[in-house]
Amino acid sequence: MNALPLLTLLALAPTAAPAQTPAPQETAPAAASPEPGGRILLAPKLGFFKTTTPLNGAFFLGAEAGYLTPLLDNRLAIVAEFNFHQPDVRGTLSDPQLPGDAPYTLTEREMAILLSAVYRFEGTLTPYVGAGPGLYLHRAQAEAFGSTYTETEGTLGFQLLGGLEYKLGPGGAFAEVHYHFTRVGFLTTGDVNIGGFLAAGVGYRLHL
Amino acid sequence: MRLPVAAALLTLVACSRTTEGPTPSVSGATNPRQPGLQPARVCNAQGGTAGWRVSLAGSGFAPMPQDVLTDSPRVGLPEVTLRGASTATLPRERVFFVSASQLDVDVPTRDTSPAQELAPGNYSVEVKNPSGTTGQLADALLVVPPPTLTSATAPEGFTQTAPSPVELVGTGFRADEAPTVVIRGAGLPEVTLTDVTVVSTTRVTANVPPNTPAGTYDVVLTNPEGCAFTLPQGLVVSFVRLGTLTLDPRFGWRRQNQSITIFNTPSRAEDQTFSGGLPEIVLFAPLKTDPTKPVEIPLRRAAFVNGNTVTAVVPTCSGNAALPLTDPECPNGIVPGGPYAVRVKDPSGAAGSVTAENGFTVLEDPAPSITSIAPSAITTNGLTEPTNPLVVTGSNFGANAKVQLLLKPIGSQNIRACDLTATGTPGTTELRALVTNVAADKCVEYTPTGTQVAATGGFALSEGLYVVRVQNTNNPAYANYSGLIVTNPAANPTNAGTKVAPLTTKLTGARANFPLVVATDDLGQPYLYALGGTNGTTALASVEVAPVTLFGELGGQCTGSTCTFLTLERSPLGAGASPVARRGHTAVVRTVPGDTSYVFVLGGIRADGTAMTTVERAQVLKVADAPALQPPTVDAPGSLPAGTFYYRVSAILSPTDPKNPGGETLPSDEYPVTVGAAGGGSTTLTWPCLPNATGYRIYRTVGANAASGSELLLEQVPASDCTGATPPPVSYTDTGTTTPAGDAPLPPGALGKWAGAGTLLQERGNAAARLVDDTVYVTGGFCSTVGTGCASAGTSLASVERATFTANTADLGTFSAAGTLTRARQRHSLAVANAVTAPNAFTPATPDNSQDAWLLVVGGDAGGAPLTGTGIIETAQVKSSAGPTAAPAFTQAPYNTASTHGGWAEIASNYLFQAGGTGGAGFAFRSNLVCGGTTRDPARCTAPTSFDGTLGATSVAYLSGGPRYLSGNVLFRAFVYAAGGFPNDAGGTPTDTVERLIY
Repeated sequence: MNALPLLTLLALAPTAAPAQTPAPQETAPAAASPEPGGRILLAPKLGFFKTTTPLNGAFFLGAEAGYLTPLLDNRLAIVAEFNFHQPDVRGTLSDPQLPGDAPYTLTEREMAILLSAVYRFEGTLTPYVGAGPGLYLHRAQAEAFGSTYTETEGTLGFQLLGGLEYKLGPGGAFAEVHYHFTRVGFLTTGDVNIGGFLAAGVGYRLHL
Repeated sequence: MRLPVAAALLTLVACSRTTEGPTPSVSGATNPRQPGLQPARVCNAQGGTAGWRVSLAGSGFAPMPQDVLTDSPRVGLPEVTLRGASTATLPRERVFFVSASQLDVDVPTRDTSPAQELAPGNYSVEVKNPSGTTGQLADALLVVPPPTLTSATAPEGFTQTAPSPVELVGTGFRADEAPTVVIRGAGLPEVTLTDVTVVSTTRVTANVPPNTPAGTYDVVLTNPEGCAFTLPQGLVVSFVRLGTLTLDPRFGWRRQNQSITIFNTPSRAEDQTFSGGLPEIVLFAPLKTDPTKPVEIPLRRAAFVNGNTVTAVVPTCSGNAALPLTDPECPNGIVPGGPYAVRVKDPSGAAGSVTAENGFTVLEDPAPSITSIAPSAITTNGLTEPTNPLVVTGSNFGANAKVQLLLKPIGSQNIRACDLTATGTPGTTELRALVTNVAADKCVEYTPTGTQVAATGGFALSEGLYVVRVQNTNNPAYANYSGLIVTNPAANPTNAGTKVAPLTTKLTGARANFPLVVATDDLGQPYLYALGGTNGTTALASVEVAPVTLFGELGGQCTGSTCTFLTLERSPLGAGASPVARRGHTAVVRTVPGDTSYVFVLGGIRADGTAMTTVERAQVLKVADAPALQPPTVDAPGSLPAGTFYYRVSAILSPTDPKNPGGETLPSDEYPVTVGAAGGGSTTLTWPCLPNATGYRIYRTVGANAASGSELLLEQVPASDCTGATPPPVSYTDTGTTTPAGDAPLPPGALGKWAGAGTLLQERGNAAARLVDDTVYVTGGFCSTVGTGCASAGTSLASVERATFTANTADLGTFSAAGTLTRARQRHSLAVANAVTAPNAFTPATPDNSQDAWLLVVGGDAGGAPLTGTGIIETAQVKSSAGPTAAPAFTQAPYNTASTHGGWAEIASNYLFQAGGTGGAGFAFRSNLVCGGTTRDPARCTAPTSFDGTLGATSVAYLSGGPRYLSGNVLFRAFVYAAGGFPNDAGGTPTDTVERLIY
C-alpha cells in the first residue's frame, strides 16, 4: 500500500545524490554567514513525544545527519533523521459478550527514518524550518484477556519542523518542534494518525 | 541497480503488515442440558429469540482490543462457524467469551431472531481469532430436529389407582434419549408422566401417574436437548371411558372426504356406550397448510347412531376449511400419511381413542378398485394352474398388493380373509392368483367392528359366494368385489345350513304372486325389491326393499335381531295419483351405465281380477341427485332446546321430471347442529337450489340428542327461482316452533315415482318377462277383455311380445308381437340361455354360437294344475350374431321333466334349474345341464334339439316348507332368492320369509 511511493523515493535517491555532491565551496554564495564549522551537521536529540491519539506521551530519542547545501545562499540543509519512541496506553473494555470489564495495554513502538529540507536563517541564533517525508515503522503490542497480540506495519508520512539553534562551540545547541503525520491501521489501534507534536526536543548539533 | 532493488525489498518487508496472536484449538462442545453427551445435541428449532446455548472448550480463545486509539474502542471476538449439512457463521452477538479456554455460543434456529435453520446432521465447529488464526473440531455438534406430537392416547383408558399407559405418536424421538413429558391443564396441577420410553422415532410410551385429576390437558414433550412440542388439549383424562373403539374403513383418499363408522365395544364393567348427542371426534394429523405441525382436526357430521356406533366424515380433502370444496387439489386437506389417531369424547364425558396404530390413513393415491374378475364362477376344483389363474382387474393396486378371498364362516359374525397364492407379474391394474385351499395361518379374521383377530380356520374350496379383496400391503386400503361364485359340479343346489347361512330378514308381511327383482343405485349398491302382489286376500300396491350385502345377505330395517324389508311408502305401484294394487305382474330391471337402475313392471291383475296392459317404470333414486346441504349455522333467538339435532333436506321434483315425475329425491347428507346449554337457538340451513325442484322437504330429529337417522319431516317449503348463471342458494331457518312429524327421509335404494312406460299389446296377468340385452320379452299370461288375441276372459295366452330399449337408456320402445308359444300358459317362468348363463354351451368354437341367446319358457299352467304332456319347456332363439331374431320361433324342447307352476327357472353355470309347485303343497326342484353333455364337457346349444336331457328332481326343499307357490324369485350372484309365496297352490296365507339357495 505505502510501498510504491517509498520505492520511488529510494530508487531516485542514488541519482539525486550526485547533484548534491559539488563542493559547497564551489557553489556557496558569499552572502551567507559562514558556518561555525563545516557543512556536515550531526546531532543527537532527546525529547518528549505526544501523539494526537490517546497514547500516553513518551520520551523519544533521535539522531540526525545533514548537509548544508550552498543553495539559497547556504541556507538550505538536507537532513536525514532517525527517531524512536514507544508510547503506550492502558484502558478497560466493556462488552456484553465478556464476563466483565477487561483491562488492556497497548504499546506502540515507532521508528521513523526521515529526510527533510531545512532552511536555516543563519546567525548566532539560527532559527530554521523544514519539512520532508519519512518512513515510519510501527509495532503495536496489545495485552488483554491473557493473550498478547503483536502487529507490525510500515507506513509513509511526513514531518514539519521548526527550531532554534544557538551557536555554541563547534556547533550549536538547539531546541525544536516537530509535527509528524503518519497513519496506522492496526486492528488494535484502529485507523488513526499516530503522529503528533514533538515538544521540548533538545540536542546539540555539530557542524563539521 | 542492486542497491535500489535491495532497498525496495527491504522496504516491502518493512511496510507489510503482520499480526501475531494465539492460535485457538477446540476440544469439545457441550449442551448444558446434556453435559456428558458428545457430540453435543442442538435442536434446530425453538430456543427463544437467542437460540440454544452451547459451550465450546479449548484453548487460545482470544478476544482482541480493537480501535483503542479511536473514539470507539471495542472488543474483537473470535468468530465461530458451524459447518455441516449447512454452514452458519455466528454473528458477534451470539459468541460469548468466558475464558481463553471457553467460549459460549448461541446456536440460531428457525425460530430465533433472525432465524437460521441448520439442517440436521453432524457439524464441525471452527473458531477464528481476530488475528486470523483458526482451530476446529470435527463432528462437535449433532443438529437434530424438534419433536412433534400428533396424538396422545390411552389405549386402556385411565385408572385412578394405578399408572395409566399412554401412547404418544409423533416425530423426532430418539431411542437413546428419553424425553420429558408433562401434561398441563387449565386449573389443573402440572403432572409429569413417568416411565417414559422411546419405542421408536415416532412412538413414545409413558404412564400417567395415579390420582391425576380428570380433565383436558395440553401434552408437552421435551427432548433432552431442549426442544419441546405442545399438543394443545391433547389428552383427556377421564375415568369414565368408552369401550374399545375401532374404525371402518381405516383409510381415505386425500382428495375425497371419507365417511367412517366408529364402533364402541365395551368389554369392561366400567366401559360406557355412547350416550346420545353429538360426540366430539378429532383426528390428530398435520394439514397441508402446515405439514410440520400436527393439529386436532374435528371430524365432520359426527352423528350418534346407537350406543355402539357413531359415524363421522374425515375431512381428508377439506381439512378445517369451510365447505363446499372447490379446489380438487384439496390445498387445505390432511397430509397424506398416517395412520393417525382418533379421539372420541362422548357428551357424557366418557372418552376413548383409537391409537395411531389402528388409526386412519390418508392415501396419497386413490384406494384400489376392482372392476372385474375372471372367471367369475368356478367349481370346487379351484384354479390351480398358473396358466389359468383368477385374474383380478381394476385400478390403483398398490405395490405388493395381494389378492384375498373373504368368506363369512357359518355361525360366525367375523369375516375371514385368506391370502391366495399369487402368480404372474403383479401390476397396478391386474393381479393374478391361484384359487386353492388356504391354511389358517394365511388367513386373518375381522370382527364386525373391524378388529383383526387370528383366523379360526382357513379356506376350503366349497360352493358359495366369496368376496374378492385386493389388499394393499403398504397401507390399509383395499377393494372388495362380490364375488367369486364357487359351484359344486357334482352336487345339486342347496340351502343346507352347512353351506349357506339362512337369511333372517323378512318381508314386512305376507306376500305372494309378486316379482322380486335386484337393482342397483348409482353407487352400484344392489337392492332387492318386492313389488306388489297379494297378502292372500288383498292385492298389494306396496313396494319394499332390502339392501344386499357383499356376501349375499340382506340388510333392512332391524329391531334387535329381527330385520325386515323397508316399505317404500312414497313409491307404491301405480303411475297415476293413486296407487294401483296388483298381483300376477312381472318385472324387469334396466341398468343404465353411468346412471342408475330402473324397475319396470308389466301387466298384472288388478284387485278386481282383471288383467292389465300397463307398463310402469320407477327409478332407483340416485345419491348424486340429493341436495348438497351445507354445514348449518346456529343462531339466536329461537326455541330449540339445548342439545344436538340432525338435519337433512330433499327435493320434490317437478311433475314433468322425466325420471321421477313429482317424486322426491334422496335426502342430503345428514348434518348435526348443537344448541348450547342455554338453549333458545335456531338453525339456518343452506343448500344450492335444484333447477327441476318444485319444493324442498326439511327433515329433523324430533328431540334433542335423538339418534341420527331418526329424522322426520319438519316442513316442506316451495322452491324459489333457480334460473340464471348463479342462482341464489336456498336457505331455511328452523326456529324450533315446529315439531317434526310424519315422513322420514327416503332410504337408500328408494324408488322414485312410478311413471307410465308404454302398454302391452295384450292384457297379461300371471305372465313372465325377461330382458335379453336391450329387448324385453313378455310371454303368456291370461287376458280379461275379449278382443284380438283374447278369445275369452280368463283365457291363457300363448302370445309373445317384445319391446326394445334405446341403447344406454331406460327408454322403452313400443311393444310388438314376437312369436307364439306352442302352448298357452300362465304362472310360468322364463330363463335365458347364452354365453353368460351357460359359458360352456355358448362358445366361439365352430359353430360360433357365443352371440346367441335362447329364451326358455318353463312350466306353468293353463288355468289350473301344472301343464302336462309335451312342451313343458319351449325354446326360441331370440338372438344371434346378426342381432335379435326377427321372428322368434318357439318349439317344444325335448327335455324329460314334469311341469311346475308358480315357481322359477334360471340358467346358471351351464345348468338349467326349474322349481315350483307341482299341485297342492307339492314342490319340485329339477336341474340338469341346459343342453346336456357332461359336467366336464357341457354340450353346445346350437339348435332347438340341443335343449334336451332329463331334468332330475332333487331333494332340495325350502326351509320354510311347502312350495312357496307364486313366490318372488330372483337370481343374483351366487344365490337364488325366494321370498314369500303361498303354502299351497290352492292358496292360503303367504309366508313373509325370504331364503336363498346356492347353486
